[in-house]
Amino acid sequence: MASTNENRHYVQVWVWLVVLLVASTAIVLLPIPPAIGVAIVFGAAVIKALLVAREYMHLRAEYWLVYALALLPTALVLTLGVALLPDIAAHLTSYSVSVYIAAIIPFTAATLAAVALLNRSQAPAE
Amino acid sequence: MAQVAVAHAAEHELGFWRKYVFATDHKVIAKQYLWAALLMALIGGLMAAMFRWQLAWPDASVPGWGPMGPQDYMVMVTMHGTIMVFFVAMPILLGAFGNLVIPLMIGAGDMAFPRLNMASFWVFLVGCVVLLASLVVPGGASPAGWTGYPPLSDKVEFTGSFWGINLWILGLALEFVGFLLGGINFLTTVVTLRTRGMTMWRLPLIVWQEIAAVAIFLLSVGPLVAGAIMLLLDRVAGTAFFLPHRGGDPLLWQHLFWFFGHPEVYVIALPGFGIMQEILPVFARKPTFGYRTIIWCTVVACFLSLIVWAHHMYVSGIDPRLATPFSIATIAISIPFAIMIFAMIATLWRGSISFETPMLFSLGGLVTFLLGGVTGIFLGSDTADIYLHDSYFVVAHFHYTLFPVVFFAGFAGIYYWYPKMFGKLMSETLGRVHFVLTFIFFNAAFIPLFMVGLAGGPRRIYSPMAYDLLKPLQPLHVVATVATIGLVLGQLPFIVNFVMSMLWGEKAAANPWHANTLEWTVDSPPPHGNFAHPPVVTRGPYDYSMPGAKDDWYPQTAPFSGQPQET
Amino acid sequence: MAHQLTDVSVMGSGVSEPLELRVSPGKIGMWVFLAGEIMIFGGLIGCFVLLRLAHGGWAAEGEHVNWRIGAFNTLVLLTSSMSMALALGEARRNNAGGVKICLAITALLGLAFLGIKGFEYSREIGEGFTPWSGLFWNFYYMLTGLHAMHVAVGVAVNSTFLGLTARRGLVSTSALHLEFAGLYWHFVDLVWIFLFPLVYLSTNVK
Repeated sequence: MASTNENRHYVQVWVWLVVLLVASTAIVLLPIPPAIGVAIVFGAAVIKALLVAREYMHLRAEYWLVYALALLPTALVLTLGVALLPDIAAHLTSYSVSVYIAAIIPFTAATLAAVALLNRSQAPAE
Repeated sequence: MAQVAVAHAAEHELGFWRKYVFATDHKVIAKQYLWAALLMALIGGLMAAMFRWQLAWPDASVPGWGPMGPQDYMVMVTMHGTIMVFFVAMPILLGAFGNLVIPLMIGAGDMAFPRLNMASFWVFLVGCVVLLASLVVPGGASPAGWTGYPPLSDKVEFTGSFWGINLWILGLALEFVGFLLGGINFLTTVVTLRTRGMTMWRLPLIVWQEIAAVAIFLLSVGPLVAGAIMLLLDRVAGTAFFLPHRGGDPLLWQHLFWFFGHPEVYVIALPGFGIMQEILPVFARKPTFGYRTIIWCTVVACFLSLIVWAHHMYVSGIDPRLATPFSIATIAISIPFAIMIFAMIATLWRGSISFETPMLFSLGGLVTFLLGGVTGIFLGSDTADIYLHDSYFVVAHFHYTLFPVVFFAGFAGIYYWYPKMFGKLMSETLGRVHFVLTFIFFNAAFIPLFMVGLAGGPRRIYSPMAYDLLKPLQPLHVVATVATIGLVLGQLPFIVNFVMSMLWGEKAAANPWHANTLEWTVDSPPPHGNFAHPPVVTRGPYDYSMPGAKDDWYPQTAPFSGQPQET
Repeated sequence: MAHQLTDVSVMGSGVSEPLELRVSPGKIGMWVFLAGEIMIFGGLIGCFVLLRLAHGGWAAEGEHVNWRIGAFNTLVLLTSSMSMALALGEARRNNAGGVKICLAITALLGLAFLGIKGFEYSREIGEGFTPWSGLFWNFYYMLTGLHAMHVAVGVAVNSTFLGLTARRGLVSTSALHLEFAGLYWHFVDLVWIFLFPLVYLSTNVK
């Protein structure tokens, strides 16, 4: 195994993580509308999380069961959160709004599945 | 694998403590779980008899206790529920049978992480002790119901029980940790330690059911652990997660609780089903009907079980737009279970059935579960549930689903695997007496409660004489209580049988039931390390009465001898 | 009566090698554990988001956390994650010295994180924001506190590995066990990646 390359790769990932951290922190200092600012901040967090999971936790090339063990609870937590929206958070939202919110579940699941498949097809044969 | 077996053989001569107390052998841990669970079942059962006494003869003196006040009554109801679900059902079905059969049935020497397995039991046992300790602390044990709904459970002012509820939460948390460790072990063992030839599609059904159960346990318990942390902080650190007047939301706890609480029903039900599915083909001498169908139904039921939780909350003030989807999902989950039941009945069809005790208990469980399942459809539909909720109908339904899978299936499993566990045969006569008493008294205890519930009798009421409209229902309560006491006393033949057989029972052969699965290919009880050589599996687990075969059973390891069958 | 299997010919389809040759039990076990952890932290974070959405007024309370310290702490944890990954790379190259250095850095950064967090707590409590000062602070202390406990466990695990490596050098299972420890440590990092914007940034976006 070419571990020197492996280590260089780990450092490269770290550089990206720091860039994202700086970018999301800078949002606080810039005069950006809160809605957009929050979206950027959480978008950066999701990318950072994917980077850590994919590169440091080696989800880039794993046995399928490991994927299932990572994706299933993530999808389930999202489902739980969305299902509780009308009860706990959004007492006043109209029906159509909650339908849109509910549409997040399949969308998120599809995205996660796509990411997983993409990862697997790129996985180096070990 | 071979090295593992040798290593196990080498440490055969262990001291008393390592062999029986801090044991890492899965068979010993299974027995430890069994003992703990049976002891807790005795406590939980006696509690039930005591509060039933109050319901039949209000304000009369309960034998051995004296008059039972409302606080004691609520404590008894709470502790009965908590003990039976978390400290009896789970240790019997997962702790005892899961630990016993999984390594033996997949041909492994032990669990993947034996020391983790030991830790699992001891953490669980500490949980038991903590829960029982809550009965004797000042202020008394938790009277907040086994669901622990805030705000009632949130502040000491509401119940008068400070340490009681804190210890209740702590005991549950320890129990969860114990079974999380056990669950990690179960899944890893089945995924990685299956012997040569043991594909996933040759696994005995109980192994499938056990890993399905721990999978949904692992996936569902997290949010409740989160909720338990918040509840405990509310009680001891002055936070307000569930206090509405300070911005919290009590409904949040109900969601978190039932997000776990509903899958928990299947965590218990699936292994119970697994035991019945293991026993039915053995005593019907027939291959199980629809092996793969049962497995796919299990998988579908697991997924659905994670998205039906709010059907426990139709009357809690949840958003009605939420109620309808949950109602649909709940009705949908009855489909895979119906298919499983039909497959079990079809297994019996034209079999050569013999009625040994394990078979009697399996059939009893099947029949009673049917009634529980069918009444569940009423409760799953939100419109019907609004009338029936919080009545004795729910109590009866709940006991008709859980009693069959915990006690009927659990006793079936004990009678069936007792020779493998202890190396002795149990008495058939006492076993049959035990079955008849249990079956009659169980039905006599809970059918009246269906009637009380349909007539509008609310549960969790200390005195059934409190309202005029309930007074005509009183005779039904008397019937139920007498039957409950009969049910508790009906366990005496079992206790006698269990202890006597261990001491003076007839020595059991390796395969007393002529069953196919791998645990019956080794001695009773199996030696440390289970298999002298890793077995090689050549066929599925239910090849009974195969045409052209010499015997009517065909062990999973039997070599091919020109027989055409392949599952 | 264990079957004698000396001359059994295994025929038919579906006879596979044991899976342990393809993936180690430890890794499956670790991921099952992490799946449970995802549900616990996911549940807590979910509750935080939901109640946050229900009460618009939290932002005012959240302005009192110091996002500069939070950002620095994020950097500390991200860096420790890298050094943990590098420790695994060094172990695979069979370089015991490198493993020791990387693990020491990881453990020290973990301790630094805890120290900074403790400083932050004392500062906030000094300003009168205690764990019972309102729903935002309830969640703030619970989430970061639970996370800090996980960090402490991770520091202990990494220090243990450091001690083991120092005493007996690298053995055949070192890289594997280091990978499991790494999975846990990266997971703790991952939780913080979400806690940081939730607790610090989203309340301070102008």
